[in-house]
Amino acid sequence: MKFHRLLLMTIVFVVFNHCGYNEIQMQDEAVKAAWAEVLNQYKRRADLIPQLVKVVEAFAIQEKEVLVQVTEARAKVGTIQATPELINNPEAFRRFQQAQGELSNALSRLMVVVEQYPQLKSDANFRDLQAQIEGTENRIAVARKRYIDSVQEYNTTIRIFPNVITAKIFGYTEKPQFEVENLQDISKPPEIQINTNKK
Amino acid sequence: MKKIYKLYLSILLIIWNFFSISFLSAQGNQDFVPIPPLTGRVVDLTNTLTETQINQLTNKLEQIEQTTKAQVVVVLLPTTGIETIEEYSIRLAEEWKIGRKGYDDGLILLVAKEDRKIRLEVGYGLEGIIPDAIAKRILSEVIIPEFRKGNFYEGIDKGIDVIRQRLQSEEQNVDFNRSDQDATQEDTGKYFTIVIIPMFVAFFLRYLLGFLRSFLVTAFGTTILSLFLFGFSWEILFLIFLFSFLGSLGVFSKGRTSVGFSRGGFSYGGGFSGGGGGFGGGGASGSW
Repeated sequence: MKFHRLLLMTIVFVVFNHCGYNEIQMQDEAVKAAWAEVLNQYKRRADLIPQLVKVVEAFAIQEKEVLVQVTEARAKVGTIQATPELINNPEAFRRFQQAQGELSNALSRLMVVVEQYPQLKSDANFRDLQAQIEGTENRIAVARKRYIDSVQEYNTTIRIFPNVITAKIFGYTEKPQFEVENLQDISKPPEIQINTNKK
Repeated sequence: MKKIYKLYLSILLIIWNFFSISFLSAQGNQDFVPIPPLTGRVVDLTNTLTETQINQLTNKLEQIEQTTKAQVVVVLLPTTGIETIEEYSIRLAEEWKIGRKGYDDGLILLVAKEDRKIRLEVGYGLEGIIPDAIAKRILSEVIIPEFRKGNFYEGIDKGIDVIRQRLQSEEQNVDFNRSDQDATQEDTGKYFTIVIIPMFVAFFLRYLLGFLRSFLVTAFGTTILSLFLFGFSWEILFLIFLFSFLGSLGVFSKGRTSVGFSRGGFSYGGGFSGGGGGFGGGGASGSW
């Protein structure tokens, strides 16, 4: 009898301490914060691009095609509502990532083109902008990595017993993760690089 | 007989605790260059600087911290391995936590000598004073020209001078809310888990087990739980105190339970340590 009582109270104790509710709460918040930072940095990049396009146009107007591509890619990013709710909608999340990826590609093409214009490369304005964009790209990489880590932790937490029950009861589902192609992007250095080496 | 129950209980609790820890282990990749220990404000693994130069730089960096509160460290290492300098640099920043917590006013000048790469990693709180464009200029206009001539000490020294001027001339516009908010949230979680739940449980257990034993079970369970959740901290010391106090009352049979690990973290060797500053990848890189 006493044994059963002990067993019962052990279980009760464990359930109270280990239902994982608090843990899920904290990690859910952590994921949200990490995601907000990702959005923040992407927005920063988008804000810098028009200035960059303007500076490049001044020196390399004939590179219309690349400039148009960048402008369009940025416009497309702008059409997707970059809201925190994106992480609760895998489809929208995927579209957002795709648009950002296209912008990254257009941007790196632009930077390749820039290499042919020594005057542009030595322009102080351009160099500052370039440094800012490089820095932003790096911040994006850092923010994304932290998002990945926090999501990984959260997704694991809500799958572990007994948290899985708590998560089900309160309706916490897995958060979308960056896809593998994106993961490969992360392991690459920021794409824009000043070529300071004397050739 | 009672002992057996206690033993049974303890074992069960321990097993449960283990069972419910998340099994996330840091993915240690062996190919990565390890982060060196923070032995001082200047860490030179390349033997580029003489002892005198290291001392001079260290004094300069100390003065900067005294006058502007900002922590600046200089690191020279041969190579960042398979990682880019940006990746290595942020890992190092996360590990060392240079700068004050809540102010995030840390700055790391990282030189990868064999890679011929340099990076200035700027903490959150200093991003306003040293934006990326300025960081880039400090590297490419002040430090790198000296490096090209092979004058490593002069380059670093001049770079630090420029950084000092900027830190002293600009008012520190510190981002207070970022880490502080995180900290309070974390603490609330901790206290909630460590205090409220055990109180509730102990209250409940009193009816089943009697006063002392319920106390014991709760304290024990909570200690282990919090060890796993938060590592070693003062709250836990307090609980352990409570625990041993109960033990000394003779409630405890002679079997001593010892928890098999503790994550120490408040005694640092040496006179210098990071203050918990946060970094988000701001700054600039360059090569020579």
